[in-house]
Amino acid sequence: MASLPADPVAMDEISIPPVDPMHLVPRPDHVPKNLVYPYPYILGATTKLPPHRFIPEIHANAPEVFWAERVYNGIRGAWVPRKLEHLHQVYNDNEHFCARDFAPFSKLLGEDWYLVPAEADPPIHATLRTMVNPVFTPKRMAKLEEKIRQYARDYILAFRDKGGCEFMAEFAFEFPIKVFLELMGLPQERMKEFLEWEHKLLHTPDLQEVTNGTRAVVDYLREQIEDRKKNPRDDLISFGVGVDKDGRHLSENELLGFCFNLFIGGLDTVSTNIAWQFWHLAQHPEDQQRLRDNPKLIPGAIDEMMRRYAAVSTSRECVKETTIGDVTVKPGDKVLLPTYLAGLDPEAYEDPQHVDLERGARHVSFGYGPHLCIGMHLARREMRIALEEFLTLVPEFSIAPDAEISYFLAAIMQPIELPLAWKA
Amino acid sequence: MTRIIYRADDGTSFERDVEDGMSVMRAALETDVPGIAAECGGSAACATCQVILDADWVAKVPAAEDLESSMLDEEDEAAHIRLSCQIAVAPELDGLIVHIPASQF
Repeated sequence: MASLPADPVAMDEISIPPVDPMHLVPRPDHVPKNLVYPYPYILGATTKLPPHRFIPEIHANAPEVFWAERVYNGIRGAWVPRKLEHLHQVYNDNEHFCARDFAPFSKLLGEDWYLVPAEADPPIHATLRTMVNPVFTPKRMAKLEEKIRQYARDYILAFRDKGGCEFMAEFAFEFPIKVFLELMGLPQERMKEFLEWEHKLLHTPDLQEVTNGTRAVVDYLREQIEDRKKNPRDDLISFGVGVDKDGRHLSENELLGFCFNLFIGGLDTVSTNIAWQFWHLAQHPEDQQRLRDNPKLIPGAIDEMMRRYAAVSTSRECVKETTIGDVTVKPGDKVLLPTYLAGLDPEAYEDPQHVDLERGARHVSFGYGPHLCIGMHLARREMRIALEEFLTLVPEFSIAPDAEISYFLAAIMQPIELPLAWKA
Repeated sequence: MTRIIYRADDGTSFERDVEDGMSVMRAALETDVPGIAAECGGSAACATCQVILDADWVAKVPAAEDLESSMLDEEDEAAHIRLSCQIAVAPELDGLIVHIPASQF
């Protein structure tokens, strides 16, 4: 049952939290044993090796579509397609797969709301997306440019003269939360609480902790929603309360699901991608210099680093028997969508491990198909501004010489800390 | 086959004969017309396949449906910006001219 990578060098380098066998969902009988493959990306697992390191071995040795244990919430196995074309297929297939319950936080509380729009399925998905899209359009997000830039600058100036920082704690974790609190109309003083909740929800294998975190977030969001019903303001919660598409409003559950989706989708994912970009540049002074010399390359460079260091996986559940490659997937089977495998698919990308800042390749790190990340234009803006401001304000930086970095392998692949250093 | 003319921001024209039923976005991707990202692959979910309808064609292209419209701002729509994944090529669009913006982001 232990899911350790076949790569012998890495065998001892991963710490996977134990699970009470009572909680494990048994593997369905129709899954052939020869398709079960050891897989390290399990909720709460940590390593001191760069976590993308295990991927080339998977592409070299694993079946195109394999079964991995414990990849769904740490307790249940799922099919894992490793090729980009198969991720495209599943993302686009609403007939055989549903998105419901890929992040079943409400179940922990015994409630029945779901993420809006991420966990909605047709036909309601298009309706919900039509209702909430208008607050995420490229032009709406462009209006936030100066505010986001000021936030980035404030953070950077606070540590610039020290000649170093712990980049996760002093920048990457808080910066997207700052933007989120602003958009949601929530007080900036709640920053530390949000950070604590976010970590409980996404990086703790202990279900009781996750449940406590979810309860705290949900109670807080419900309180805020009630407040906006009485005192509407110019923020996203008020927008959710007031949205009216030809007489269709968001129900109480949808409204909570919408707010919760923004919380779960827009914070840690942005932190993580920013972290990988700085992790890479800190170790590649030549790439850093190219972006300093030619800032116009920054947007393309960010996409290339999002491909190379993709960190997120979502999942689907099969609702009607179908095939992925030559594997038969049956109703009730979970299918993991690991963007980090697709981004390093050697059949889709030449020399996939190499970061070529001008590669200009498409990727699925924001997902694909109807569920493509609704916050993509905001996320891109946050990442670009973070990099632009850092490169403008801070001289050449590297990873601090004595740094020992640990990484989460899932739910999101992330450096837990990232000490950077430069000449002050 | 229906002739679609893509005009890049620098004035370059790309004339393509496209199978009816295919989207203006898909035809651009498959025949290497630059400047269309189409990150979601045709679901009106990303707004990165934007084109600007040539003034003469605005009235002839079927209007945007709700989902497409929700991805665009009023000022976009006033400027006749459309998501090219939502425009299906059809004989009555023969000679359609669309302009590709300098950036999709």
